[in-house]
Amino acid sequence: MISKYIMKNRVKLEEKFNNSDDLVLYEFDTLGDTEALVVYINGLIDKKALNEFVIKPLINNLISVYDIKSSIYISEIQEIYNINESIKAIVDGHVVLFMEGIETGYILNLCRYDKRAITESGVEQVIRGPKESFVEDIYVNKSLIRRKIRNNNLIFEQFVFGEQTNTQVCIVYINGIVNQDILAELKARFKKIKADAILDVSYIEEYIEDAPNSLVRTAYYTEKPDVLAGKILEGRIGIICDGSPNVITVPKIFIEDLMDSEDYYSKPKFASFLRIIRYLSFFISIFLVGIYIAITNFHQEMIPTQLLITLAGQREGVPFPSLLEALLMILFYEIIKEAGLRLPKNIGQTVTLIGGLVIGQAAVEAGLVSAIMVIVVSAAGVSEFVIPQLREMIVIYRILFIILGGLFGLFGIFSGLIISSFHLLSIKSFGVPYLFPIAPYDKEGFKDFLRRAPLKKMNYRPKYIADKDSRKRK
Amino acid sequence: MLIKKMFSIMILLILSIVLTSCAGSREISELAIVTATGIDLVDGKVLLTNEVIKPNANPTKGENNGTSVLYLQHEGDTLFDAIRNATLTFDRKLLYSHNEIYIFGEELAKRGIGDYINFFLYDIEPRESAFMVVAKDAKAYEVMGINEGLSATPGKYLELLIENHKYTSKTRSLNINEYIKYYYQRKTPVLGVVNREQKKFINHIQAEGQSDHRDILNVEGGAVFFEDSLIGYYSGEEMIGFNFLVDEIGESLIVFEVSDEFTNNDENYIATKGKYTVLEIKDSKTKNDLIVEDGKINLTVDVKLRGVIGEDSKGLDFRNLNIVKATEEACSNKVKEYISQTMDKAQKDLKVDTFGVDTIFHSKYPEEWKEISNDWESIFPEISYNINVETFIIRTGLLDMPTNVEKGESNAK
Repeated sequence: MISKYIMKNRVKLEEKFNNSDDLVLYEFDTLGDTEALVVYINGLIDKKALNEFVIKPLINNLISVYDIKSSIYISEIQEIYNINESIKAIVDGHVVLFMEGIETGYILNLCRYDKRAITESGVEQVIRGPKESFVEDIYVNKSLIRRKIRNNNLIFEQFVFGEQTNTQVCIVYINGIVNQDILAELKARFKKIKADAILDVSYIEEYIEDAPNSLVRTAYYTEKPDVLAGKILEGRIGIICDGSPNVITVPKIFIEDLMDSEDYYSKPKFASFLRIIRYLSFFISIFLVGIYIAITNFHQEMIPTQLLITLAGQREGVPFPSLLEALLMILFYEIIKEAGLRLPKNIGQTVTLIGGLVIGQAAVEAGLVSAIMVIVVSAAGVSEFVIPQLREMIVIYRILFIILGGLFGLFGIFSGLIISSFHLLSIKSFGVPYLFPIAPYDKEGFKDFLRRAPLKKMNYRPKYIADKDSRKRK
Repeated sequence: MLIKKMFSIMILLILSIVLTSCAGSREISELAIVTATGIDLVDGKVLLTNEVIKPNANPTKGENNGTSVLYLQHEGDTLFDAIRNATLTFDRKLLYSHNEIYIFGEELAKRGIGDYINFFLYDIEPRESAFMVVAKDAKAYEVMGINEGLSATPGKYLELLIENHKYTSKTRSLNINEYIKYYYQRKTPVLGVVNREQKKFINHIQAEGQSDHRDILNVEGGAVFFEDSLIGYYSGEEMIGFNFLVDEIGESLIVFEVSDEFTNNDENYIATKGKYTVLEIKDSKTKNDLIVEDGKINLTVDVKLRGVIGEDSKGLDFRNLNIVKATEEACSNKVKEYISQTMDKAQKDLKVDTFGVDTIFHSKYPEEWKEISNDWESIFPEISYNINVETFIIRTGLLDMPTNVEKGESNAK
């Protein structure tokens, strides 16, 4: 309870914040000689506005404590009666005003803190189409979405997670398009979250994901408002987390990772071509090395004669069995990739250059690995970068398929393929089959799968994801 | 549910076994790639000559541009035995998966090859698409190791020569699969042949003391087998007739003479000393039919031929429809000549049915076939035949009038 006496409130707050250095408690007298107390955290508020629109009118004009709302010039004021509520408001970056003699506190929204400017997305770069990306601040992100979808049915729902961090998490969807079952399921999963800290939106994903043991993600990550708008217009639900420039959408199906926002900004036929390239790259990056090992060790009759002769020449004098050779190359490749990724930009390039030289040229000339193995591994490696979203899955699956191919030949590759297909088929994201629209087959879904149909032809929103029989246009 | 899932996974895993061929991995560096095999019979034992690729670690730094090969010879009681005996003296295991050519020595071919070649079907490695040829008047190993083409290996050189058969139709390609098909039908297969010939070496920069003649290979002609043994050869021209009869003619040429009366003797035409006109076959269809009349068998061969005039050295003016007709007729007559030449050789000389006439008889007169099937070899030489050839010139190359007509004033009047 808030006390009538501001001294009591002050002591209580000081106690709660344990005399934290950045907590400001400022007392002053109003014109009517009433004592007033403003409490805020230094650095989170707009001090100029506080001085100009709160303290100045109070000191100059306020006579009766019951006239507060009409004396100060703030658009967002909330009355509170509980001291704990005031604590929450203070940590959120609001100013709390107490007056002597009344048991009411006022939360004044004067949030202003330094945040990153809206820049071009570093991860999802496009040639054509919107370039702005989300920032860490949830309010900015919300405004970016609002500006994309000017519709009163666009709903934001606020949640707070993290016992220590009290992070604001917000879900966004369009009423009328969203599938109510999925929305209810998401809220039910939100209720079960018992987190200590939420530092990024991926924490939320881990608490609500469908296949925690799988290498594939069941939530789609994006940094761009236009991508998010596209997703929620298809009936998905976006989850925004304060402090994270990434936004996730659920439910997610497998083929989403192989799509790109630019598909919809370029000509449909060209977009379809790019999609086929992407699917090819996906298969090359996972299977190429494994199949190469399997064929050269088990099925030499499948290689064209001239190529086999060349291969035989290259393998001559290589000390390791080809399975070991491939694993070594993959190991070095992953090390170089990780080194180039984590180091500062200017050193990172040097690492990649030296690594590329050592592996690409020196290793072949020294006779440690065959030239064809370098080609195969780097082809698989380059293909991986076409679909960075699936990196986690590709890297591990590739190694598995190399081992399977090296030990059991094509039999191993196909067994692995069957088992991994079973795995993907078994996953559901919020009740939506993960391999939709391949299994279960959906004719409408195929319009936006391998080929991107013209927008005029895509009349329905995705089945299962959006509300039932949801037509895009009347 | 889980059991059902496990069960279906198991079934799919078991099914996928059929997708694969070999168990047990073999590094490429443990294998020797065979690119050609010669099979001979010496003192009752199989003598196998293998052409093996010698892997070259630095192909760009090598002295010779072609791939270097080794020749291995091994003896054994059977083919498989000889191949396994190879491991006693050669360090790597022979890989037959890439062998595209089997050469049979004439001696072995005359004795019969049927009892040896079933190894190709028993074992998993040999390709059924490998070509079979007979070394004419020679041992198989005598025609090996000759590479006067641009191919990397002598085996590839011979393989490509055989694959060129469609350009002349003077030879034939027959692979193991096709041979076995004939073999089971008790037909008489015709294999390709390979000859070793001498060719004058034309090179201005000739090394001192080098012979001015080189060995080359020639695949003109065909080797006629009865059951599984060699009984004779067709010449190159006879092979054209043969290919017409079995409807395997490729994009080959027909060189024929058109009667002199169609030659334009106008003084505007120069260079009319040539005799021949050449038709390039684009499309040909042969239909064989046979009728029994008064106890006599009559074979009708219908050839429908479409082609393009490729060359004319006689100064024929193809703008004139009569000349086109006459040309077509002359071409048809030439084809008839080719076919009857081959029929005569088969009936009178070889006395075997190499064209599958028996199959036509069998399907048309199944009852009678049962009675005569054992005597077919004596009946075949007696059957009469007539040949109808229809030639259609679809276009006359890129020209519609001869190049040797003198253009200008004299033509304009």
